[in-house]
Amino acid sequence: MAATTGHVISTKLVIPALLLSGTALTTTQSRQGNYSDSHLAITASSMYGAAGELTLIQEALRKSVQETQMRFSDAPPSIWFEDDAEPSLVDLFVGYDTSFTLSLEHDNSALLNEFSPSSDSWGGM
Amino acid sequence: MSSSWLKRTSSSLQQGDLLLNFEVPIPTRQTDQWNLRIVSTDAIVLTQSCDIGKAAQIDLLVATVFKFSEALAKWPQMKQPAYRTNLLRQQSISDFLLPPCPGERDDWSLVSFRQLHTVSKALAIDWPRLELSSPYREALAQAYGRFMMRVGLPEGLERREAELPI
Repeated sequence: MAATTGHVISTKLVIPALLLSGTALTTTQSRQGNYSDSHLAITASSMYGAAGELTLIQEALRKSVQETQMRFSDAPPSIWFEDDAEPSLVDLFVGYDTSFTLSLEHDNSALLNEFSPSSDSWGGM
Repeated sequence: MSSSWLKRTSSSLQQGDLLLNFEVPIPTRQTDQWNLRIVSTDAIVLTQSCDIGKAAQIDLLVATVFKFSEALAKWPQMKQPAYRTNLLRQQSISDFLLPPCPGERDDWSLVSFRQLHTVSKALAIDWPRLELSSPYREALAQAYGRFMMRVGLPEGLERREAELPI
């Protein structure tokens, strides 16, 4: 995927499991589909009532599978540098099909190595 | 008096604010491998103050700031009198000198207009920082403006001095 902004997460893998669970629509514990499930369950409940007409709900979910993709903010998770743990690269770049490394430099010595003082001055122009 | 240049900030983020130990992301790419370096460095805000307040201004342009003593240890040519004079007179084209801030920052500082970064405004707003007082703040902006707008001519008129009517 050549995405350049945001993290795109498809719901396609999550929804079939929901369809099999029936009444579990509002209680699924799937980590991957947590946000998707809640969102869809609320929508389904408000449209069709808590008792649920499963066929209609299934149809709505199938439609959502086809149409729904959710875009998340580019902002890094707030937990980034609160401790010394390595950031989770999967969480940061989920959906990106590329290879990368992440490093943290506690001073600017590398920048200083790249710096070069210049004798250019306005007096010499 | 050097204490009037930098002071503990008492206002909202503005041009000339010195972000202390800020975390600057530097992406690089080698063949198929991306590397995202998060570098802790002092950095000074170059984005115009009037733009910083706009919601659409989501990024800031900042310049790397080195501690002068550390730069001096790395680059002995900075001891040359001509270089020091240019810095002290604010005549260096790409470097801008800042004096210490007593009680806050003991070292002299060197701003490099050649090491610029774009950073998140949201992250910078609440970051620990000092502010550059006016009119030194405007002097920094002017120095950066001159660095960006300068034009090098392929041939000057010095050689034609004899043709100039007296």
